[in-house]
Amino acid sequence: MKKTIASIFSFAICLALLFAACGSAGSAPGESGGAMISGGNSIPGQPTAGMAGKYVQQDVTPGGLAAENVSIGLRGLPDGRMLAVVATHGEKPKALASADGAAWEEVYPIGEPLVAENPDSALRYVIDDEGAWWVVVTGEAGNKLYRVQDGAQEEIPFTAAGKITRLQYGGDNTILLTAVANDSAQWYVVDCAVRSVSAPFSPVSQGFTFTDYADGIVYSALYGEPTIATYAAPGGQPKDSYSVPVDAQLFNAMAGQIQGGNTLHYADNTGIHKAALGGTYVETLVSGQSYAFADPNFTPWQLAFAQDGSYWLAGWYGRDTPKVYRYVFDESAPLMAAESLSIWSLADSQSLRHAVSAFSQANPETDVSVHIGRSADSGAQTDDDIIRQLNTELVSGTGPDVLILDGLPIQSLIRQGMLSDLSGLVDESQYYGGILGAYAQDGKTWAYPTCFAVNLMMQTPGAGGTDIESIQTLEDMRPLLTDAASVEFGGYIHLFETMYTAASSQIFPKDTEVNEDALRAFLSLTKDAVDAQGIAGTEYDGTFGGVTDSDEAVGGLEIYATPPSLGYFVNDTLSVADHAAATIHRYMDVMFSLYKPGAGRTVIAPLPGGVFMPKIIAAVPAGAANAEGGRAFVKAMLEGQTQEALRNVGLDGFAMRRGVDAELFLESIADFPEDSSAVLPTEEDCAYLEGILGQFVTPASVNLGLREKVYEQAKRLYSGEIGVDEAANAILQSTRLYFAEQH
Amino acid sequence: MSTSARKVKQTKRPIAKRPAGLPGESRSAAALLLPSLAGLGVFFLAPFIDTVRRSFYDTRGQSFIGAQGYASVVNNDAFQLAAANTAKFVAVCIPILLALSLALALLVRAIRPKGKLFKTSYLLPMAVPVASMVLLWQILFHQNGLVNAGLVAAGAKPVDFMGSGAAFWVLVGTYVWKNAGYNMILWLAGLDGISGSLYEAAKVDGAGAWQCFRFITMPSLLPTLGLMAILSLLNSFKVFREAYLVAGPYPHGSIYLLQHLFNNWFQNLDISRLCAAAVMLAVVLTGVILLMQRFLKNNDD
Repeated sequence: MKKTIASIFSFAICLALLFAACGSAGSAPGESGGAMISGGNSIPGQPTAGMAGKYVQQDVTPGGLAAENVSIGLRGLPDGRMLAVVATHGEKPKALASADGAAWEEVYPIGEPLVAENPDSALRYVIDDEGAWWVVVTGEAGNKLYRVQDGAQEEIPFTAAGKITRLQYGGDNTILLTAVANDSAQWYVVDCAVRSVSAPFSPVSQGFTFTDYADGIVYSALYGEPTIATYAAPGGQPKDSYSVPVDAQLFNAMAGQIQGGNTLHYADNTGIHKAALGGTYVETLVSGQSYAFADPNFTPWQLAFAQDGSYWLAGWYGRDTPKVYRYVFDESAPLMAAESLSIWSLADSQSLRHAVSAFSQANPETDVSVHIGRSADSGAQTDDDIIRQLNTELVSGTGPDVLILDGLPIQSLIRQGMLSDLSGLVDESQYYGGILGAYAQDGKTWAYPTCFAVNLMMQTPGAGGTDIESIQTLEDMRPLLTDAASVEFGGYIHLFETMYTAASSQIFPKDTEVNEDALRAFLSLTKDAVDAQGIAGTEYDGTFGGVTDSDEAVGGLEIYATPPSLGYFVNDTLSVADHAAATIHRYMDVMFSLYKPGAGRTVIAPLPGGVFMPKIIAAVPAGAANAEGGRAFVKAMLEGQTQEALRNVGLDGFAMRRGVDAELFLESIADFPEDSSAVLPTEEDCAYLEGILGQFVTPASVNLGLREKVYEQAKRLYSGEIGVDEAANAILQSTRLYFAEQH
Repeated sequence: MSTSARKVKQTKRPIAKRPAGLPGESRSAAALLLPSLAGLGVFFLAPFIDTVRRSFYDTRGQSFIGAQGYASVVNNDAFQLAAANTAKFVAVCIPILLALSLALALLVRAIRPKGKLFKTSYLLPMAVPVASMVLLWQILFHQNGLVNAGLVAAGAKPVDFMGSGAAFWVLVGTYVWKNAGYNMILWLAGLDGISGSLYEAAKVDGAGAWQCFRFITMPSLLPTLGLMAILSLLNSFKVFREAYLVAGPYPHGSIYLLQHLFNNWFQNLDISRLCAAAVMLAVVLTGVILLMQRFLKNNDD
C-alpha cells in the first residue's frame, strides 16, 4: 500500500514538474526580444484580456488656441478643477479652469496691461494659491518680477543673473524661478505669502534637463544621465540623488512631474508612465497608438494630475498647434477594441510611427500594436536572431498582420509564398510606377515601398566638365570620381554606399546570382576613386559626414550623399548595413539647390542605372489573422494623409505618391517674401524633379548580408591589403554558398 | 508442514492473487518514465512528425508538393558540400578524439594519484564558454593573430586560417580540445569497470602490457566505445556554434556544415527543403547508430 501511495505521489510530482516545464517553455510572441508598442492600456500585473475599462483620450483644448506662440501651463486646483494658464505673445494672458474639460471658465483675470507696457519683452506667468499672478518680464533691461491681483500691480525687488526661462508653481504658495546665463543655471524660490525671493542656488551639475519643484524640493535630471538630483529649497542644499529607469535622452522629449516625493510620472511618445525614484521598473498607465502622444508630430510639454485621477497633457502638434488632452478612466470602455492589428518591423522609424498614428486615429476601433525587432529589449540578439524569431512566428501561423520588410530577406519571403498579393490595392497611376512596382512579379504585387531614396547627380549649367546627362554607365563616372576637385567624399564608406547602391542591382540581379564582371568593375572603379581621393585611410569622416562638396569652379557637380539620418530613436544601432542605403535627403533640399546665384536651373540626373532604394516596404503575410486590416494599413500608408505625414518628417526620402512632396514644398514657400533675392523654385521645377524621379525603375539590392560580404572585402581592397582579383574572388567564394542555397 | 511444502505454498500464493495488468514495480517504473516519455513525445517526437509532414508540403504547410523537397535537397550544391564537409568532419574528428582521449585516460591512470591534476586540466575546456573560445580562436588564428606572429617570427609565411582550407583543421582542433577531457572521463569509467583479476591472471600466464591491452582492455571497453562513439557523433554537431560565431552564416567552404545550411534555410524560410534535409539526416544518423550497435553487439557476442 505504502509503495502504491509513493508511486502515485512521485507520479504526481513528476506530472506537476512536467506541466510547470511546459508552462514555462512557451512564451507569447513579443515577450522575448524586441519591443512592443502596445495598442491598449497595459497595467503590469493585472489581467488585460476580457477586463473592461481603460483610459480614454478627450481633446479638451480651450477654444481659440490655434495660434502661434501660445504656451499653456497646467495645474490641478484644490477644488478639483484644472487650471490652465494660457499665454500668447503680444496678448493678455488668461487663466482658465475646468472640472472635466468640457467647458473652460475664465478665472483670476489679470487686469493690468503688463503686456501693453512691455511689447518687446518675454513674459512668463504663474498663479499662486491666492489667485495672484506672478509675472516675470524679461527684456533688454533684465528681469522684472511683478505680483498682480485684482488690478493691483506690485513690483517685487529682484535681481537675477541671466534670463528667467521658467516659472514653476511648487505648492505651499511658493514658486521656482529658473534663470540661465552663459549656460549656467540658477534657481530662486519666491515665497508668495511674504512676497520675497530667496538667494539663488545652483544645481551641482550645470547641465540639466528635466526640472520639477514640489513641496520644497527641486528635482533636476542631470544632462545625459538617468539620474534625478534633489535640492532643498529655498536653501539649495543638495539632498539625494536617484537613478530612474528612464533613458537619459528621454528627459529631453517628455513632460514629467514628481508626485509624493518618490514617483516620477511622465508622458512621452509611447504613453503616460510612472517610475519610482531609485527604482528599476516603469509602469505604463496609458498607452495607445490612437492617442495624440503616439504621433511623432506631437511634443508633450506638461503633464498634470486632477483629483479625479485623470491625467491632463498639454503639448504641440508641429510648432503651432497647441493642444490639451485629458485621459480619464472609463470603466465602460472595452479594454480591447473590436479589431486588432499587429505590425512588425526590424527597426523603429519616425515614418512608421507616423503611419501607425495616422492609421490609429482614423481607425479607433482597431488596436494597433507595433513590434520592433531591434530594440533595447532585444539585448544582444543579432538581426539574424530576430529574423529567426519572426520566421518561427510566420511558420507557426502566429505572425503579424503587416510586415515592414526593410532588412528582411524579401525575395525569399516572396519565393516561399509567405506574402499576400496586394495587386490593385491602390490606383498605381497616382504613384511613381517604376518604384511602386519594385516587388511586382508574375503579375502580382507582393509589397509596396511607401517611400524611397535615390542618388542624384546635380550640376550647375555651363560650369564645364563632364556633362552628367551624358553619363550612361558607372564606368562613365570614372573621370568624376577620380577627380577630387569635382566630387569629394569624406570617407570611403560614403563612396562605397553611393556607388554600391547604384551597382548592386547589376552585381546581384534579383539577389539570385552574382555578375562577376559587374562586381569586378565596381571594385575597380571604387578602388581607383578611393586612391585618387586619398581616402584609403578614412572609413568615415565624422566631422564632415559624407557630404560631397561640389566645386562649382571646376565641374559644378554634386552627388548628394548626405549620410542617412538615423533619427533620434535611442535604440537605433549603427552598422554598416544600416548605414548603407541610398542617399537620403529631403525633397526640399533638392529644390533649394536648383538655383544658385548667377546660374540657371541646376541639371539633375540619376546615377547610371536609375537605381532607387525602396524604404518602409509594407507587405501583408499570407495567412495573417487580420489580412483585411493589414491591407487597409498598407493602403493607408500609401494614401494622402499618411504620405503627407511622412513628408513632414522626410527622413526616409521621397514620398511614393506623386505630387505630395511638391504640394507641401510649394505650400511652404508660399509665404516667402517676394523681394527675396533667391530664385524660388516653381511648379514647373517641381514637375522637372518629378520627371527625374520617374526615371528610377530598378530597385537596389536590399540584401544586407550580401552588402556586408562586399563591404568586408572592399575595405581590405581600399586599404591596399588585397587586390581587385583577390577581393572579387573572396566575394565570389563567400556569396557562392548563398546562391547555391537558393537553387 | 515440511520446509519444502511451505516454500511451494509461498510461491504459489502471489501467482494466484496477482492482479491483471502490470505488476507493482512495473507500474512504478512506468509512472516514473511517463513524464520523461511525455516530454520526449511532446518536444521531440511530435515536432519530428511535423517535420516529416512539412517536408512534403510548401513553406506554409498548405500545398502538398510530394518529394520535390527531397529531390531539390539532393540536387542542391550547397547541401552536397555541407553533407560532405559534415561527413568528413565526423570521419576525421571521432577517431582522433576517441584515440586521443583513450590515450589520455591510460596516461592519467598510469600516473595515479597525480593524475587528478591532469584529469581536472583536461576537463577545463568544457567549462570555457563558447564566446570565450571564439575569442581565443580569433586571437590565435586571425590573420594577425598569435599563430601567424609565431610563423612569421620563425621565418614562415603567414596562413589565412579562416579564409582557406586550414579552417577545417582549426575546427577539428577546437572540437578535439574541447571534448577530449569529457571522453577521457568516460574511458576512465570504462577502465575502472575492468576487473583487476583479469590482468593478474593474464600476467600469471605471461602476457605483456600490449597483450593485456589488446586482449583484455580493448574488448572490455567495447561497450564504452559504442556509447562514446554515439555521444561524440552527436556532440560533433555542436561544433557549429564555434564555426558560426567565428565566421558567420557563410564561412569558408571547408567548414560549411549542414547546420550552416539548415540555419540559412530557416533564415530564408525555405522550410520544405529544411525539413526534407532534416529528415534525411535523421534517417542517416539512425542508420549509422543502428549499424554501430549491431557491430558492437556482434563483437560482444
